[in-house]
Amino acid sequence: MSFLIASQILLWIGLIVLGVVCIALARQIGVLHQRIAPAGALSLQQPLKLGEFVPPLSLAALDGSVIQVGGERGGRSQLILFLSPDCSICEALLPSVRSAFTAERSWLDIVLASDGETQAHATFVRDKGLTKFPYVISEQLGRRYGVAKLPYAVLIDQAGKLAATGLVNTREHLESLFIAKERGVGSIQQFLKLRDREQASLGE
Amino acid sequence: MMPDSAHLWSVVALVETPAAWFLALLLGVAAAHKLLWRRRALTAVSGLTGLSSWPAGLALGAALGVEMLAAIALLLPDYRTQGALLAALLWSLYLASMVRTLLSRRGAVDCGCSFGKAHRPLGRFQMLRTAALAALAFAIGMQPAGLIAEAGNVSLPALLLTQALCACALLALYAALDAVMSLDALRPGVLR
Repeated sequence: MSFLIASQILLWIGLIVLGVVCIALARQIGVLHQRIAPAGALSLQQPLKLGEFVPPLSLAALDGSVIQVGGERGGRSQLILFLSPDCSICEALLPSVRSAFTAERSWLDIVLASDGETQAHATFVRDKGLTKFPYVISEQLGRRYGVAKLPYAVLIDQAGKLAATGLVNTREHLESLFIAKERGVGSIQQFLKLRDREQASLGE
Repeated sequence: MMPDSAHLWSVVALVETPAAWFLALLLGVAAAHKLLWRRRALTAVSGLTGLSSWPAGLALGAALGVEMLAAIALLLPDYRTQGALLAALLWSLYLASMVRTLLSRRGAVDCGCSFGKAHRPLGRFQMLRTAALAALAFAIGMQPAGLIAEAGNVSLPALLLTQALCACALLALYAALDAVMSLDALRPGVLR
């Protein structure tokens, strides 16, 4: 048998081993996905209940435009992200918010919200390059959703109903709100409860 | 020296055998999968065709029989063309039922076409893969009969061993792609 054929055989065997290793790795990732509890936004006690219609509220944004928060808005969903210029976690979350703004723009509008001194917020918006987002300053808005800790996000669906809310410290938390809306569960707690019930019924 | 077109056909003949064996292995594994995980296969048949329990069982049995027949035919050089055309027909039918299911928007349907426990709902990937398999089977079925592989001074057992290993490697890569594509998808924008 020539060297060429021997090397061919060895190469094919190498490719088979590589394929098997790849299968093992992919399955391991799948097992990890199953075992690790999803990172979801922690939902806190709030005045509005999930699934309830959110009455529209018109607010003036920092750039002078009028923004409607809540209510039906032509079939588009709305994410209200409560943050503050002096909150370091909010600042760390901004790249994820910018990414979500681009990736989810087909169905979602993002509104940034806060309260306090207008000047400080205007500087924050300019320094962090947030001019593409509507930015509203309203204490009333924060009270309406029972915002106690930051950064906090509220997702209103296309029908103007409260779809998901929670503390969002990371990209995973932020995305968990979108997934919660798509799957029809309101919070991470509800999702875990449903999953436990499903697993119990399957006898896992 | 051989003319160019004749040389090309001899290369095609070299590639045809491992490709046919790969399809045969794949059909064999798919048939075994249907036998071992019968309940999932039945759910998939019901989801894709809309048939109720016993007609779905009948359709599953028929699909299993055709898969095994095509696999055996693909392994036998004299019946390779028939086996390849049968396989192409079977995958074309699978593809048609996938397209029909997607167009009827029956929600998230498991097409039963992944080997592992984890699976993604029916989508573009499964349809592209099925179309590629049907095209490959059709291409093998359309090869002119009597092609002779020109393998120089390589002995027949060595050539057969290389071709068999090539078919196994293709199956391993197929299964690896299947395992990777069964993982939960990341949201768009997550890698930005």
